[in-house]
Amino acid sequence: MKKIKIGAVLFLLITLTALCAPLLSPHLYHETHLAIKNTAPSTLFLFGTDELGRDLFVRICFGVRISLLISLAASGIDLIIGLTYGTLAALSGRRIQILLGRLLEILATVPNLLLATFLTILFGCGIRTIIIALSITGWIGMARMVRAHIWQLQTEEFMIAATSLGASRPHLLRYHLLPHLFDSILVTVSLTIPSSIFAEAFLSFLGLGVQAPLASLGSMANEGIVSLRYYPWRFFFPAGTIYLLILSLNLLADGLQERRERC
Amino acid sequence: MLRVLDLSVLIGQKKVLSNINFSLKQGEIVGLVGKSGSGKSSLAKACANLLPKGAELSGKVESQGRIGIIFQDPSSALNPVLKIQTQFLESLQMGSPQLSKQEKKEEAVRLLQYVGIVEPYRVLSQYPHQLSGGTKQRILIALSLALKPTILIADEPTTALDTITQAKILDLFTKIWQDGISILLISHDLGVIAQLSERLLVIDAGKLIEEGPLQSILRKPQHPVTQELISAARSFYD
Amino acid sequence: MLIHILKKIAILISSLWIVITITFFLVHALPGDPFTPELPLSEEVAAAMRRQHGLDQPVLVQYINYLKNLAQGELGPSMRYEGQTVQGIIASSFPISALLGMQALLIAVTAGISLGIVGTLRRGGWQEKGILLLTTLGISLPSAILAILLQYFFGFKWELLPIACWGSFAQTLLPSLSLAAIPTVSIARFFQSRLVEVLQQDYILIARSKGLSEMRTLIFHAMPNALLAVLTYLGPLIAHILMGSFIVEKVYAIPGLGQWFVSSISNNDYTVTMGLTLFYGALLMFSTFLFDLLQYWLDPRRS
Repeated sequence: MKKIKIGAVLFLLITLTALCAPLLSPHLYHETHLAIKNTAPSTLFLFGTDELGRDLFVRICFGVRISLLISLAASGIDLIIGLTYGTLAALSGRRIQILLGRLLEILATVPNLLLATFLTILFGCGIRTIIIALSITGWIGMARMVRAHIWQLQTEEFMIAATSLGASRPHLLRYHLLPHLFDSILVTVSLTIPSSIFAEAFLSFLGLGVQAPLASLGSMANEGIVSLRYYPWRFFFPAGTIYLLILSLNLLADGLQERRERC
Repeated sequence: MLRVLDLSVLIGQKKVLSNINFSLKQGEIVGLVGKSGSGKSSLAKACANLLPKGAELSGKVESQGRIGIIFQDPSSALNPVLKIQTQFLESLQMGSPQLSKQEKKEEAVRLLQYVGIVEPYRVLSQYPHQLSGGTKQRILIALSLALKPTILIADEPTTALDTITQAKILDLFTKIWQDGISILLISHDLGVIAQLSERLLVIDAGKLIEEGPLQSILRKPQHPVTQELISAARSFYD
Repeated sequence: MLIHILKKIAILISSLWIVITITFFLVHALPGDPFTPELPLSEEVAAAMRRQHGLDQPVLVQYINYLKNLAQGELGPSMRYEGQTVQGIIASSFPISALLGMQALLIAVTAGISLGIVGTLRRGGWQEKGILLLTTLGISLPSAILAILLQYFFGFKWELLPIACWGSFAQTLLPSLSLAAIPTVSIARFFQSRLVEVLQQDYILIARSKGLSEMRTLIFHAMPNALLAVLTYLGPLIAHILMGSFIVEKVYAIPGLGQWFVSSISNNDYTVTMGLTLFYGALLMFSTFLFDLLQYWLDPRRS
């Protein structure tokens, strides 16, 4: 319970700051002050400035938004595709079950991140391509989980009881299976989001992240590497934010997982 | 024999056993009956010196000779990644260290035959998951006998087995007792205990609430819990 | 058991084939070809190169040729570096990456298991709490960020360890540590929870009742069971280490295969990118397959 709280609070803190702080800050996202480029953190510029004199704090807030946009979108798509595929694979007729199942097994061995990297290389890096590239491989984990869980639930007594009382398929699905699946889905989603953030950072470090003028946390961190020796904050603040985002979500996921196991 | 003197056990915050006093003489079969959670297993472990590390003991457990112990679930009592033979060699190392490896193997075969296993050589080369529950329980009994114990503590030995196998295992216990080993038979099922024991101990909430010869307790139970246990057993076995 | 192995081989081959085919057709689905405007080539030279690389043939013919070449281990020439073939690049640079990866894996496995054991033996004590904290914090730290962190502190600020290139043992330290961090804490966590589970089984009590010391029981009864579970974990961890090596090699200027991969991206050296993607993909799938097999073989319950 403690984990869920810490994770959730941290995550909300970061998200809310990212959403509201720019409204309160005197600096604009794209406002450049070449005279004060690369200054260290101070009271005027909380996180310092980058090579064009832009306020890093505001930029990071926007970066959080973009990184979250990408990961939430990718995770959402994963959820939809994975849930559908998993349900179909678990509940359809014998032959289709075997076919879908085999396909899933084969797809599961394909390395996700590598394929996503390759897709981004080929189709160029923009928010849309990155989201698609991340979703194309991410749904497999969700599908597997859903399929296994439904199979397991089917043999549970309450399902057999409901079926013998004459419940129809859609009814079973909606009122009996889904509520039980909800917990597992929640845990899986809370794990896909941080791994998408991680993947987006990974792509950025390879130079495949979001391109200027947009900046995600990953691309900002990547740009900060070059000037690490002299202006370390340009790396540490974006990187630190990435870390805290992933950490908070992992804590949340862990806590949810523990709570689920306890029941 | 076994003597328990004023034993109290504290695990974490919970007082699992309070002021337990009893003794098990040479060649006796004593039954210990109680509801789930009454402290039976803790008492068994305390006698065999197998309490978990955080447990606090006061009082004394005195015993002469080695103590063998058997638990309820034969599946989790055998190491899944070791062959039966290996598990025997370990026990025999304790009970008959002077034997060579080959001699130990033969002793294992003899023990398996003693407990009624039909193909001892085959069983020795197998892994636990390949064997049935009844066979596994017999193996566990054989393993505990390999220690050459003077006392055998059996904690719910038949609870996980079907009624027919149950009866056969109880016959085996009779045989072991007739060969001179004292037995402390623990169960929540009075019916099982009543078939074998001479004396009876009743435990509830960590305390011994009744003790005495089996027949007299069955005829005239003093404590309400004892009466409960008897009527529960009776309704089944009548 | 044999059937199981054959099944797994079939899956492996199907996955490999899918990846090979997908990469091929994806690359060919792009508008234009590698020889259009990005390279400063004149039209005749570009046409000649297309002919030379067989790019003027129908797609299916190209595909078959491609598969044929693959079967012989030929992944094509580099488009940026004269005279270098992809397979040649792999042969010269992969050993370095492999060494780095194995060092990281070794650190991860030994450190992870040790931490797991300490955490189990000292349950409830400060050691366990410390390890729990460490693993919770560590599991969220991408190896790329850790690599740069270590480079900054141990290299720039404190000047304790070398931060670039490859050759001496000291130069291998920071890169391996960066790669090993997440796997170490993953293993530690997982191993500890398995070990605790195992220690609660009855057969541990039986072993003690046979007179075995706590140490012997731990080593001979508990560890084999817990270690078996860790084996499944190793497959995905290797993937993690492999992918992480791209960035770690870039950060520490290590002349391994990962560096080649990263630079081929910025160089638009398509043949190298594609060839290396295939190589890494095949490597990953093959190693997962091997670990699966290893676990199957070692666990008496499966065969």
